[in-house]
Amino acid sequence: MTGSVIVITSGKGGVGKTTTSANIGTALAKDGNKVVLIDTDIGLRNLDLLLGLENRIVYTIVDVVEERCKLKQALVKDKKNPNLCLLAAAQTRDKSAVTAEQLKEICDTLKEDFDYILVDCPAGIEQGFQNAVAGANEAIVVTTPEMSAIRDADRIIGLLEAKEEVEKYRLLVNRVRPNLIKTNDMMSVEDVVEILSCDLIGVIPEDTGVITSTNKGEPIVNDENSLAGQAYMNVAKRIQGEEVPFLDIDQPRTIVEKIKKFFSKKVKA
Amino acid sequence: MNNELFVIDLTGCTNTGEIITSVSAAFEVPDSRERKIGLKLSDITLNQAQILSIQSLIASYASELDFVETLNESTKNICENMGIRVQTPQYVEKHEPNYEQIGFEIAPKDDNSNAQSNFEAQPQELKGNGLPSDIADMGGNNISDSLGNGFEEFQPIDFNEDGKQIMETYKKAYDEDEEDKQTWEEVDYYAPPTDEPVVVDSKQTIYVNQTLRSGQVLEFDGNVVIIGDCHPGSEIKATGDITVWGVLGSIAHAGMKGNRDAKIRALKMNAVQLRIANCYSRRPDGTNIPYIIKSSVFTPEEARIVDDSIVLFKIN
Repeated sequence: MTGSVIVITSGKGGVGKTTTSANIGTALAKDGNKVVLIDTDIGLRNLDLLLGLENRIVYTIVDVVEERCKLKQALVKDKKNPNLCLLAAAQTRDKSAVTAEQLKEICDTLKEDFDYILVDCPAGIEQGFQNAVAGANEAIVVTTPEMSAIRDADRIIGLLEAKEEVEKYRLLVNRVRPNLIKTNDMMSVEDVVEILSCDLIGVIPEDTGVITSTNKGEPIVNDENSLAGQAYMNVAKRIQGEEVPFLDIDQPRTIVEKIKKFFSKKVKA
Repeated sequence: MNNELFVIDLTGCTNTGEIITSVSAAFEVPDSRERKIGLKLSDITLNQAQILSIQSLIASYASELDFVETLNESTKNICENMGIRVQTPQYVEKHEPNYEQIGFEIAPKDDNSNAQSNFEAQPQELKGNGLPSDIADMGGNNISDSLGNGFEEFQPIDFNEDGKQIMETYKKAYDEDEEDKQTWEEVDYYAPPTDEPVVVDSKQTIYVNQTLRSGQVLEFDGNVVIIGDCHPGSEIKATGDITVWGVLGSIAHAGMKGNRDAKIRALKMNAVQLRIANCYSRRPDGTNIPYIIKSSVFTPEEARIVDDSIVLFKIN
Protein backbone atom coordinates (compact mmCIF):
# COMPACT_ATOMS: atom_id res chain seq x y z
CA MET A 1 0.00 0.00 0.00
CA THR A 2 1.26 3.45 -0.84
CA GLY A 3 -0.65 6.18 0.81
CA SER A 4 -0.54 9.78 -0.22
CA VAL A 5 0.96 12.39 2.03
CA ILE A 6 -1.05 15.59 2.07
CA VAL A 7 0.25 18.67 3.77
CA ILE A 8 -2.28 21.24 5.01
CA THR A 9 -0.69 24.65 5.03
CA SER A 10 -1.54 28.34 4.77
CA GLY A 11 1.30 30.66 5.66
CA LYS A 12 -0.91 32.89 7.75
CA GLY A 13 -1.98 31.73 11.17
CA GLY A 14 -5.55 31.43 12.34
CA VAL A 15 -7.14 30.62 9.01
CA GLY A 16 -8.11 27.10 10.05
CA LYS A 17 -5.30 24.71 9.15
CA THR A 18 -5.69 22.61 12.26
CA THR A 19 -9.49 22.58 12.08
CA THR A 20 -9.27 21.56 8.43
CA SER A 21 -6.77 18.80 9.23
CA ALA A 22 -8.91 17.38 12.01
CA ASN A 23 -12.09 17.48 9.92
CA ILE A 24 -10.68 16.15 6.67
CA GLY A 25 -8.87 13.42 8.60
CA THR A 26 -12.05 12.39 10.39
CA ALA A 27 -14.07 12.57 7.17
CA LEU A 28 -11.58 10.39 5.28
CA ALA A 29 -11.59 7.87 8.13
CA LYS A 30 -15.41 7.86 8.13
CA ASP A 31 -15.27 6.85 4.46
CA GLY A 32 -13.29 3.79 5.49
CA ASN A 33 -9.75 4.93 4.75
CA LYS A 34 -6.87 4.37 7.11
CA VAL A 35 -5.74 7.85 8.06
CA VAL A 36 -2.94 9.23 10.19
CA LEU A 37 -2.77 12.88 11.21
CA ILE A 38 0.67 14.31 11.96
CA ASP A 39 0.90 17.50 13.99
CA THR A 40 4.16 19.25 13.10
CA ASP A 41 3.44 22.37 15.12
CA ILE A 42 5.97 21.43 17.77
CA GLY A 43 5.73 23.66 20.82
CA LEU A 44 2.26 24.94 19.91
CA ARG A 45 0.30 21.79 19.36
CA ASN A 46 -3.48 21.94 19.08
CA LEU A 47 -4.57 19.09 16.86
CA ASP A 48 -4.88 16.75 19.86
CA LEU A 49 -7.29 19.20 21.45
CA LEU A 50 -9.54 19.37 18.40
CA LEU A 51 -9.76 15.60 18.28
CA GLY A 52 -10.25 15.34 22.04
CA LEU A 53 -7.20 13.14 22.43
CA GLU A 54 -5.19 15.39 24.71
CA ASN A 55 -5.38 13.04 27.67
CA ARG A 56 -4.16 10.05 25.69
CA ILE A 57 -0.82 11.37 24.52
CA VAL A 58 2.16 9.70 26.10
CA TYR A 59 4.73 9.72 23.30
CA THR A 60 5.15 12.40 20.69
CA ILE A 61 6.87 12.84 17.35
CA VAL A 62 9.99 14.07 19.14
CA ASP A 63 10.12 10.84 21.15
CA VAL A 64 9.93 8.91 17.87
CA VAL A 65 12.71 10.96 16.30
CA GLU A 66 14.90 10.67 19.38
CA GLU A 67 14.20 6.93 19.51
CA ARG A 68 12.60 6.82 22.91
CA CYS A 69 9.71 4.83 21.47
CA LYS A 70 8.63 3.06 18.30
CA LEU A 71 6.56 4.86 15.71
CA LYS A 72 3.55 2.60 16.33
CA GLN A 73 3.64 3.31 20.05
CA ALA A 74 3.33 7.02 19.42
CA LEU A 75 0.20 6.72 17.25
CA VAL A 76 -2.88 7.63 19.28
CA LYS A 77 -6.05 5.94 18.08
CA ASP A 78 -9.18 8.07 17.82
CA LYS A 79 -11.96 7.50 20.36
CA LYS A 80 -14.67 6.83 17.82
CA ASN A 81 -12.98 5.79 14.62
CA PRO A 82 -10.33 3.07 14.81
CA ASN A 83 -9.20 4.00 11.28
CA LEU A 84 -7.94 7.36 12.48
CA CYS A 85 -4.62 7.86 14.26
CA LEU A 86 -2.80 10.90 15.55
CA LEU A 87 0.93 11.45 15.81
CA ALA A 88 1.09 14.35 18.26
CA ALA A 89 3.68 17.09 18.47
CA ALA A 90 5.66 17.74 21.63
CA GLN A 91 4.54 20.77 23.55
CA THR A 92 7.72 21.20 25.53
CA ARG A 93 10.15 21.47 22.62
CA ASP A 94 10.53 23.68 19.57
CA LYS A 95 10.60 23.29 15.79
CA SER A 96 14.31 22.49 15.69
CA ALA A 97 13.69 19.20 17.52
CA VAL A 98 12.77 17.51 14.21
CA THR A 99 14.52 17.82 10.87
CA ALA A 100 12.99 17.64 7.41
CA GLU A 101 14.76 14.34 6.69
CA GLN A 102 13.41 12.76 9.87
CA LEU A 103 9.85 13.81 9.03
CA LYS A 104 10.20 12.49 5.50
CA GLU A 105 11.36 9.18 6.92
CA ILE A 106 8.34 9.02 9.23
CA CYS A 107 5.99 9.79 6.32
CA ASP A 108 7.63 7.14 4.16
CA THR A 109 7.22 4.54 6.91
CA LEU A 110 3.59 5.46 7.50
CA LYS A 111 2.81 5.35 3.78
CA GLU A 112 3.11 1.56 3.89
CA ASP A 113 0.29 1.13 6.41
CA PHE A 114 -2.03 4.06 5.80
CA ASP A 115 -4.07 5.40 2.87
CA TYR A 116 -3.76 9.04 3.79
CA ILE A 117 -1.17 10.85 5.85
CA LEU A 118 -2.31 14.38 6.64
CA VAL A 119 0.40 16.72 7.86
CA ASP A 120 -0.79 19.74 9.82
CA CYS A 121 1.70 22.48 9.07
CA PRO A 122 2.55 25.31 11.46
CA ALA A 123 2.09 28.94 10.42
CA GLY A 124 5.04 30.65 8.80
CA ILE A 125 7.54 29.65 6.16
CA GLU A 126 10.45 28.75 8.43
CA GLN A 127 11.82 25.45 9.68
CA GLY A 128 8.38 24.17 10.72
CA PHE A 129 6.96 24.65 7.23
CA GLN A 130 10.04 23.15 5.56
CA ASN A 131 9.73 20.09 7.84
CA ALA A 132 6.04 19.61 7.16
CA VAL A 133 6.40 19.90 3.40
CA ALA A 134 9.41 17.58 3.20
CA GLY A 135 7.54 14.30 2.92
CA ALA A 136 4.42 15.55 1.14
CA ASN A 137 3.32 14.75 -2.38
CA GLU A 138 0.11 16.77 -2.27
CA ALA A 139 -0.83 20.02 -0.61
CA ILE A 140 -3.99 21.78 0.47
CA VAL A 141 -3.56 25.53 0.84
CA VAL A 142 -6.06 26.96 3.29
CA THR A 143 -7.03 30.59 2.97
CA THR A 144 -9.80 32.94 4.00
CA PRO A 145 -11.27 35.62 1.71
CA GLU A 146 -9.06 38.34 3.18
CA MET A 147 -6.18 40.13 1.50
CA SER A 148 -3.61 39.21 4.16
CA ALA A 149 -4.45 35.50 4.04
CA ILE A 150 -4.47 35.54 0.25
CA ARG A 151 -1.08 37.21 0.03
CA ASP A 152 0.40 34.63 2.42
CA ALA A 153 -1.26 31.81 0.48
CA ASP A 154 0.28 33.17 -2.72
CA ARG A 155 3.71 33.07 -1.10
CA ILE A 156 3.11 29.50 0.05
CA ILE A 157 1.97 28.39 -3.41
CA GLY A 158 5.18 29.85 -4.83
CA LEU A 159 7.22 27.82 -2.34
CA LEU A 160 5.21 24.68 -3.05
CA GLU A 161 5.73 25.07 -6.81
CA ALA A 162 9.46 25.08 -6.18
CA LYS A 163 9.23 21.68 -4.46
CA GLU A 164 9.45 18.88 -6.98
CA GLU A 165 7.95 16.28 -4.63
CA VAL A 166 4.67 18.17 -4.31
CA GLU A 167 2.75 16.96 -7.34
CA LYS A 168 -0.38 19.01 -6.89
CA TYR A 169 -1.74 21.68 -4.64
CA ARG A 170 -5.32 22.77 -4.25
CA LEU A 171 -7.02 25.65 -2.58
CA LEU A 172 -9.50 25.51 0.26
CA VAL A 173 -11.35 28.73 1.03
CA ASN A 174 -12.40 28.78 4.64
CA ARG A 175 -14.72 30.95 6.71
CA VAL A 176 -16.76 32.22 3.78
CA ARG A 177 -19.73 34.38 4.73
CA PRO A 178 -22.26 34.46 1.88
CA ASN A 179 -24.22 37.40 3.27
CA LEU A 180 -21.08 39.55 3.33
CA ILE A 181 -20.24 38.54 -0.23
CA LYS A 182 -23.72 39.58 -1.29
CA THR A 183 -23.23 43.06 0.11
CA ASN A 184 -19.78 43.26 -1.50
CA ASP A 185 -18.07 43.41 1.88
CA MET A 186 -16.14 40.21 1.33
CA MET A 187 -14.28 38.83 -1.64
CA SER A 188 -16.14 36.07 -3.39
CA VAL A 189 -14.64 32.62 -3.77
CA GLU A 190 -14.34 33.22 -7.51
CA ASP A 191 -12.25 36.31 -6.84
CA VAL A 192 -9.93 34.37 -4.54
CA VAL A 193 -9.50 31.60 -7.08
CA GLU A 194 -8.82 34.15 -9.80
CA ILE A 195 -6.22 36.01 -7.76
CA LEU A 196 -4.38 32.83 -6.80
CA SER A 197 -5.05 30.98 -10.10
CA CYS A 198 -5.21 27.66 -8.36
CA ASP A 199 -7.57 24.66 -8.40
CA LEU A 200 -10.28 24.75 -5.78
CA ILE A 201 -10.88 21.76 -3.52
CA GLY A 202 -13.55 23.17 -1.26
CA VAL A 203 -15.41 26.10 0.18
CA ILE A 204 -16.21 26.04 3.87
CA PRO A 205 -18.80 28.47 5.21
CA GLU A 206 -18.30 30.28 8.48
CA ASP A 207 -20.04 28.24 11.13
CA THR A 208 -20.30 29.00 14.82
CA GLY A 209 -20.55 25.26 15.38
CA VAL A 210 -16.82 25.05 14.64
CA ILE A 211 -16.02 26.95 17.82
CA THR A 212 -18.23 24.69 19.89
CA SER A 213 -16.79 21.57 18.31
CA THR A 214 -13.23 22.78 18.97
CA ASN A 215 -14.00 23.31 22.63
CA LYS A 216 -15.71 19.95 22.89
CA GLY A 217 -12.86 18.18 21.17
CA GLU A 218 -15.06 16.68 18.49
CA PRO A 219 -14.63 17.51 14.78
CA ILE A 220 -17.64 19.16 13.17
CA VAL A 221 -17.92 16.49 10.44
CA ASN A 222 -19.47 14.28 13.12
CA ASP A 223 -22.38 16.72 13.22
CA GLU A 224 -24.50 15.84 10.21
CA ASN A 225 -26.65 18.96 10.42
CA SER A 226 -23.72 21.31 10.12
CA LEU A 227 -23.09 22.97 6.79
CA ALA A 228 -19.36 23.27 7.49
CA GLY A 229 -19.32 19.58 8.36
CA GLN A 230 -20.96 18.69 5.04
CA ALA A 231 -18.51 20.91 3.19
CA TYR A 232 -15.58 19.09 4.84
CA MET A 233 -17.14 15.72 3.94
CA ASN A 234 -17.25 16.90 0.32
CA VAL A 235 -13.60 17.95 0.46
CA ALA A 236 -12.74 14.46 1.69
CA LYS A 237 -14.68 12.98 -1.23
CA ARG A 238 -12.76 15.16 -3.70
CA ILE A 239 -9.47 14.04 -2.15
CA GLN A 240 -10.55 10.47 -2.84
CA GLY A 241 -11.06 11.41 -6.49
CA GLU A 242 -14.83 11.69 -6.57
CA GLU A 243 -16.52 14.46 -8.52
CA VAL A 244 -18.72 16.29 -6.05
CA PRO A 245 -20.50 19.54 -6.92
CA PHE A 246 -19.72 22.48 -4.68
CA LEU A 247 -22.12 22.94 -1.85
CA ASP A 248 -24.58 25.79 -2.00
CA ILE A 249 -23.33 27.60 1.06
CA ASP A 250 -26.03 30.22 0.73
CA GLN A 251 -28.58 27.81 2.11
CA PRO A 252 -31.22 29.32 4.36
CA ARG A 253 -30.63 28.14 7.90
CA THR A 254 -33.65 29.25 9.87
CA ILE A 255 -37.32 29.29 9.03
CA VAL A 256 -37.29 33.08 8.76
CA GLU A 257 -34.40 32.93 6.29
CA LYS A 258 -36.20 30.23 4.32
CA ILE A 259 -39.30 32.38 4.02
CA LYS A 260 -37.17 35.40 3.08
CA LYS A 261 -35.37 33.45 0.40
CA PHE A 262 -38.62 32.05 -0.95
CA PHE A 263 -40.02 35.53 -1.37
CA SER A 264 -36.83 37.04 -2.76
CA LYS A 265 -36.82 34.35 -5.45
CA LYS A 266 -40.37 35.24 -6.34
CA VAL A 267 -39.47 38.88 -6.65
CA LYS A 268 -36.51 38.11 -8.90
CA ALA A 269 -38.62 35.87 -11.08
CA MET B 1 18.76 49.01 38.37
CA ASN B 2 22.01 48.36 40.16
CA ASN B 3 24.74 48.08 37.58
CA GLU B 4 26.77 45.61 39.59
CA LEU B 5 27.14 42.30 37.81
CA PHE B 6 26.05 39.24 39.72
CA VAL B 7 27.46 36.02 38.33
CA ILE B 8 25.66 32.81 39.19
CA ASP B 9 27.62 29.64 38.69
CA LEU B 10 25.44 26.83 37.39
CA THR B 11 28.22 24.67 36.03
CA GLY B 12 27.28 21.84 38.38
CA CYS B 13 23.63 21.78 37.38
CA THR B 14 22.61 18.87 35.22
CA ASN B 15 18.95 19.71 34.63
CA THR B 16 16.59 22.69 34.54
CA GLY B 17 15.18 21.89 37.96
CA GLU B 18 18.60 22.29 39.54
CA ILE B 19 19.20 25.49 37.63
CA ILE B 20 15.94 26.95 38.83
CA THR B 21 16.68 25.92 42.44
CA SER B 22 20.15 27.40 42.24
CA VAL B 23 18.99 30.67 40.70
CA SER B 24 16.20 31.06 43.27
CA ALA B 25 18.68 30.27 46.04
CA ALA B 26 21.02 32.94 44.73
CA PHE B 27 18.34 35.55 45.20
CA GLU B 28 17.79 34.56 48.81
CA VAL B 29 20.78 36.71 49.76
CA PRO B 30 19.87 40.27 50.75
CA ASP B 31 20.60 43.01 48.21
CA SER B 32 20.62 40.56 45.37
CA ARG B 33 17.64 42.11 43.61
CA GLU B 34 17.79 44.65 40.80
CA ARG B 35 21.04 43.56 39.32
CA LYS B 36 22.45 42.40 36.06
CA ILE B 37 22.80 38.66 36.12
CA GLY B 38 25.37 36.51 34.40
CA LEU B 39 24.86 32.75 34.22
CA LYS B 40 27.69 30.27 33.93
CA LEU B 41 26.30 27.09 32.48
CA SER B 42 27.87 23.70 32.00
CA ASP B 43 27.50 21.60 28.87
CA ILE B 44 23.75 21.34 29.48
CA THR B 45 21.41 21.72 26.48
CA LEU B 46 18.62 24.18 27.12
CA ASN B 47 15.75 24.89 24.78
CA GLN B 48 14.07 28.20 24.22
CA ALA B 49 11.26 27.55 26.67
CA GLN B 50 13.69 26.63 29.42
CA ILE B 51 15.78 29.73 28.85
CA LEU B 52 12.62 31.82 28.80
CA SER B 53 11.51 30.39 32.12
CA ILE B 54 14.92 31.11 33.66
CA GLN B 55 14.72 34.61 32.23
CA SER B 56 11.27 35.18 33.68
CA LEU B 57 12.44 33.83 37.04
CA ILE B 58 15.25 36.36 37.05
CA ALA B 59 12.83 39.08 35.97
CA SER B 60 10.60 38.21 38.92
CA TYR B 61 13.45 39.31 41.17
CA ALA B 62 13.53 42.67 39.34
CA SER B 63 16.84 41.70 37.77
CA GLU B 64 17.95 41.36 34.19
CA LEU B 65 19.78 38.53 32.43
CA ASP B 66 22.91 40.13 31.04
CA PHE B 67 24.92 37.27 29.64
CA VAL B 68 25.11 33.52 29.50
CA GLU B 69 28.32 31.60 29.53
CA THR B 70 28.08 28.15 28.01
CA LEU B 71 30.06 25.46 26.27
CA ASN B 72 27.04 23.94 24.60
CA GLU B 73 26.67 24.94 20.94
CA SER B 74 22.90 24.52 20.75
CA THR B 75 22.27 26.53 23.92
CA LYS B 76 24.65 29.16 22.60
CA ASN B 77 22.77 29.43 19.31
CA ILE B 78 19.37 29.63 20.97
CA CYS B 79 20.60 32.35 23.34
CA GLU B 80 22.04 34.32 20.45
CA ASN B 81 18.76 34.04 18.58
CA MET B 82 16.93 35.32 21.64
CA GLY B 83 19.25 38.31 21.80
CA ILE B 84 21.05 37.25 24.96
CA ARG B 85 24.75 38.01 25.06
CA VAL B 86 26.80 34.82 25.05
CA GLN B 87 30.29 34.52 26.48
CA THR B 88 32.71 31.72 25.96
CA PRO B 89 33.88 30.32 29.27
CA GLN B 90 37.42 31.10 30.20
CA TYR B 91 37.86 27.70 31.74
CA VAL B 92 37.97 24.60 29.64
CA GLU B 93 36.96 21.69 31.83
CA LYS B 94 34.03 21.40 34.17
CA HIS B 95 35.09 21.92 37.71
CA GLU B 96 34.08 21.26 41.26
CA PRO B 97 32.28 23.94 43.24
CA ASN B 98 34.31 26.46 45.06
CA TYR B 99 34.20 25.07 48.56
CA GLU B 100 35.27 21.66 47.41
CA GLN B 101 38.15 23.02 45.45
CA ILE B 102 39.50 24.69 48.48
CA GLY B 103 39.15 21.50 50.45
CA PHE B 104 40.89 19.72 47.67
CA GLU B 105 43.77 22.10 47.46
CA ILE B 106 44.51 21.86 51.15
CA ALA B 107 44.56 18.09 51.16
CA PRO B 108 47.21 15.97 49.46
CA LYS B 109 46.65 16.10 45.75
CA ASP B 110 46.57 12.38 45.08
CA ASP B 111 43.59 11.76 47.34
CA ASN B 112 40.65 13.68 46.05
CA SER B 113 37.74 11.88 47.66
CA ASN B 114 39.38 11.87 51.03
CA ALA B 115 39.90 15.56 50.89
CA GLN B 116 36.29 16.14 50.13
CA SER B 117 34.98 14.08 52.99
CA ASN B 118 37.46 15.63 55.37
CA PHE B 119 36.19 19.00 54.42
CA GLU B 120 32.60 18.10 54.88
CA ALA B 121 33.16 16.49 58.23
CA GLN B 122 35.13 19.36 59.66
CA PRO B 123 33.95 22.60 58.21
CA GLN B 124 35.14 24.51 61.23
CA GLU B 125 38.73 23.82 60.37
CA LEU B 126 38.53 25.96 57.33
CA LYS B 127 37.00 28.85 59.07
CA GLY B 128 40.21 30.45 60.10
CA ASN B 129 41.84 30.15 56.75
CA GLY B 130 40.72 33.30 55.14
CA LEU B 131 37.42 31.91 53.91
CA PRO B 132 34.21 33.85 54.12
CA SER B 133 32.66 32.42 57.25
CA ASP B 134 29.27 31.58 55.78
CA ILE B 135 30.86 29.41 53.10
CA ALA B 136 32.51 27.34 55.76
CA ASP B 137 29.30 27.18 57.72
CA MET B 138 27.33 25.99 54.80
CA GLY B 139 29.93 23.43 53.90
CA GLY B 140 28.90 21.02 56.60
CA ASN B 141 25.22 21.64 56.23
CA ASN B 142 23.09 19.03 54.56
CA ILE B 143 20.75 21.52 53.00
CA SER B 144 23.46 23.24 51.11
CA ASP B 145 24.87 19.89 50.11
CA SER B 146 21.59 18.94 48.63
CA LEU B 147 21.44 22.25 46.87
CA GLY B 148 24.57 20.85 45.39
CA ASN B 149 26.52 22.92 43.07
CA GLY B 150 24.31 25.92 43.22
CA PHE B 151 25.85 26.45 46.62
CA GLU B 152 28.44 28.99 45.70
CA GLU B 153 25.84 31.46 44.67
CA PHE B 154 25.68 32.47 48.28
CA GLN B 155 29.00 34.11 47.61
CA PRO B 156 28.95 35.45 44.09
CA ILE B 157 32.53 35.25 43.05
CA ASP B 158 34.05 36.49 39.89
CA PHE B 159 36.49 33.74 39.24
CA ASN B 160 39.25 35.69 37.67
CA GLU B 161 39.57 38.25 40.35
CA ASP B 162 38.17 36.97 43.60
CA GLY B 163 39.57 33.51 42.94
CA LYS B 164 42.97 34.99 42.83
CA GLN B 165 42.29 36.88 45.97
CA ILE B 166 41.48 33.75 47.88
CA MET B 167 44.65 32.16 46.60
CA GLU B 168 46.57 35.14 47.78
CA THR B 169 45.12 34.67 51.23
CA TYR B 170 46.39 31.15 51.09
CA LYS B 171 49.74 32.39 50.08
CA LYS B 172 49.88 34.47 53.18
CA ALA B 173 48.51 31.80 55.45
CA TYR B 174 50.63 28.93 54.30
CA ASP B 175 53.48 29.90 52.11
CA GLU B 176 55.89 32.52 53.08
CA ASP B 177 58.55 30.85 51.00
CA GLU B 178 59.29 32.38 47.62
CA GLU B 179 59.51 29.06 45.78
CA ASP B 180 56.20 27.82 47.07
CA LYS B 181 54.60 31.02 45.96
CA GLN B 182 55.48 30.19 42.40
CA THR B 183 53.96 26.74 42.64
CA TRP B 184 50.76 28.25 43.93
CA GLU B 185 50.51 30.40 40.93
CA GLU B 186 51.06 27.47 38.66
CA VAL B 187 48.34 25.42 40.29
CA ASP B 188 45.19 25.34 38.23
CA TYR B 189 42.57 27.04 40.28
CA TYR B 190 39.94 24.61 39.20
CA ALA B 191 40.08 21.09 40.48
CA PRO B 192 40.29 18.39 37.84
CA PRO B 193 36.97 16.99 36.67
CA THR B 194 35.82 13.85 38.39
CA ASP B 195 33.41 11.28 37.03
CA GLU B 196 31.78 10.82 40.40
CA PRO B 197 28.04 11.37 40.14
CA VAL B 198 26.62 14.15 42.23
CA VAL B 199 24.83 12.49 45.12
CA VAL B 200 21.47 14.13 45.51
CA ASP B 201 19.36 13.60 48.56
CA SER B 202 16.01 12.59 47.14
CA LYS B 203 14.24 13.98 50.20
CA GLN B 204 14.97 17.49 49.11
CA THR B 205 12.07 19.67 48.11
CA ILE B 206 11.82 22.49 45.64
CA TYR B 207 9.32 25.30 46.08
CA VAL B 208 8.19 26.92 42.87
CA ASN B 209 6.34 30.14 43.35
CA GLN B 210 4.95 30.67 39.87
CA THR B 211 2.37 29.48 37.40
CA LEU B 212 3.59 26.68 35.17
CA ARG B 213 2.53 27.56 31.68
CA SER B 214 2.11 25.48 28.55
CA GLY B 215 5.41 24.09 27.32
CA GLN B 216 7.26 24.50 30.60
CA VAL B 217 8.73 21.39 32.16
CA LEU B 218 9.70 21.14 35.80
CA GLU B 219 11.93 18.15 36.36
CA PHE B 220 13.36 17.59 39.80
CA ASP B 221 15.07 14.91 41.80
CA GLY B 222 13.02 15.14 44.97
CA ASN B 223 9.68 16.58 45.99
CA VAL B 224 8.02 19.45 44.19
CA VAL B 225 5.73 22.04 45.73
CA ILE B 226 4.14 24.47 43.31
CA ILE B 227 2.44 27.51 44.69
CA GLY B 228 0.36 28.46 41.68
CA ASP B 229 -1.54 26.76 38.89
CA CYS B 230 -0.24 24.25 36.38
CA HIS B 231 -1.72 24.97 33.00
CA PRO B 232 -2.41 22.26 30.40
CA GLY B 233 0.60 21.58 28.21
CA SER B 234 3.13 21.85 31.01
CA GLU B 235 4.75 18.89 32.71
CA ILE B 236 5.93 18.20 36.23
CA LYS B 237 8.30 15.32 36.75
CA ALA B 238 9.64 14.49 40.18
CA THR B 239 11.24 11.50 41.84
CA GLY B 240 9.27 12.26 44.99
CA ASP B 241 5.85 13.73 45.71
CA ILE B 242 4.16 16.53 43.82
CA THR B 243 2.02 19.07 45.63
CA VAL B 244 0.21 21.81 43.77
CA TRP B 245 -1.24 24.68 45.74
CA GLY B 246 -3.61 25.62 42.95
CA VAL B 247 -5.22 23.96 39.95
CA LEU B 248 -3.34 21.00 38.51
CA GLY B 249 -4.33 20.93 34.86
CA SER B 250 -1.24 19.44 33.31
CA ILE B 251 0.66 16.17 33.21
CA ALA B 252 2.18 15.20 36.55
CA HIS B 253 4.61 12.34 37.02
CA ALA B 254 5.55 11.57 40.62
CA GLY B 255 7.98 8.88 41.72
CA MET B 256 9.62 9.09 38.34
CA LYS B 257 12.40 6.64 39.15
CA GLY B 258 10.07 3.96 40.45
CA ASN B 259 8.90 5.20 43.82
CA ARG B 260 5.41 3.70 44.03
CA ASP B 261 4.72 5.42 47.35
CA ALA B 262 4.86 8.84 45.73
CA LYS B 263 1.74 10.96 45.85
CA ILE B 264 0.28 13.80 43.84
CA ARG B 265 -1.80 16.38 45.68
CA ALA B 266 -3.63 19.40 44.36
CA LEU B 267 -6.19 21.86 45.58
CA LYS B 268 -8.13 21.20 42.41
CA MET B 269 -7.36 18.12 40.40
CA ASN B 270 -7.97 18.58 36.69
CA ALA B 271 -4.84 16.83 35.43
CA VAL B 272 -4.68 15.63 31.84
CA GLN B 273 -2.64 12.66 32.96
CA LEU B 274 -1.42 11.41 36.30
CA ARG B 275 1.58 9.15 36.40
CA ILE B 276 3.07 7.59 39.50
CA ALA B 277 6.15 5.40 39.04
CA ASN B 278 5.10 3.09 36.20
CA CYS B 279 1.34 3.59 36.57
CA TYR B 280 -0.61 5.86 34.26
CA SER B 281 -4.09 7.26 34.33
CA ARG B 282 -5.87 9.82 32.22
CA ARG B 283 -8.70 12.26 32.69
CA PRO B 284 -12.12 10.81 31.80
CA ASP B 285 -13.24 11.83 28.30
CA GLY B 286 -16.50 13.40 29.44
CA THR B 287 -14.56 16.01 31.40
CA ASN B 288 -12.23 16.78 28.55
CA ILE B 289 -12.45 20.53 28.85
CA PRO B 290 -9.57 22.21 27.06
CA TYR B 291 -9.33 25.11 29.47
CA ILE B 292 -8.75 25.24 33.17
CA ILE B 293 -11.79 25.53 35.34
CA LYS B 294 -11.01 28.50 37.48
CA SER B 295 -13.09 27.99 40.53
CA SER B 296 -13.15 29.37 43.99
CA VAL B 297 -14.45 26.05 45.24
CA PHE B 298 -11.45 23.86 45.84
CA THR B 299 -11.73 20.18 46.42
CA PRO B 300 -8.27 19.07 47.53
CA GLU B 301 -7.44 15.60 46.34
CA GLU B 302 -4.54 13.21 46.62
CA ALA B 303 -3.59 10.59 44.06
CA ARG B 304 -1.76 7.44 45.07
CA ILE B 305 -1.30 3.90 43.85
CA VAL B 306 -3.74 1.30 45.10
CA ASP B 307 -3.38 -2.16 43.58
CA ASP B 308 -1.51 -1.03 40.47
CA SER B 309 -3.92 1.73 39.62
CA ILE B 310 -3.99 5.39 40.51
CA VAL B 311 -6.79 6.33 42.87
CA LEU B 312 -7.90 9.80 43.94
CA PHE B 313 -8.73 10.45 47.57
CA LYS B 314 -10.35 13.53 49.02
CA ILE B 315 -8.25 15.35 51.54
CA ASN B 316 -10.24 16.60 54.47
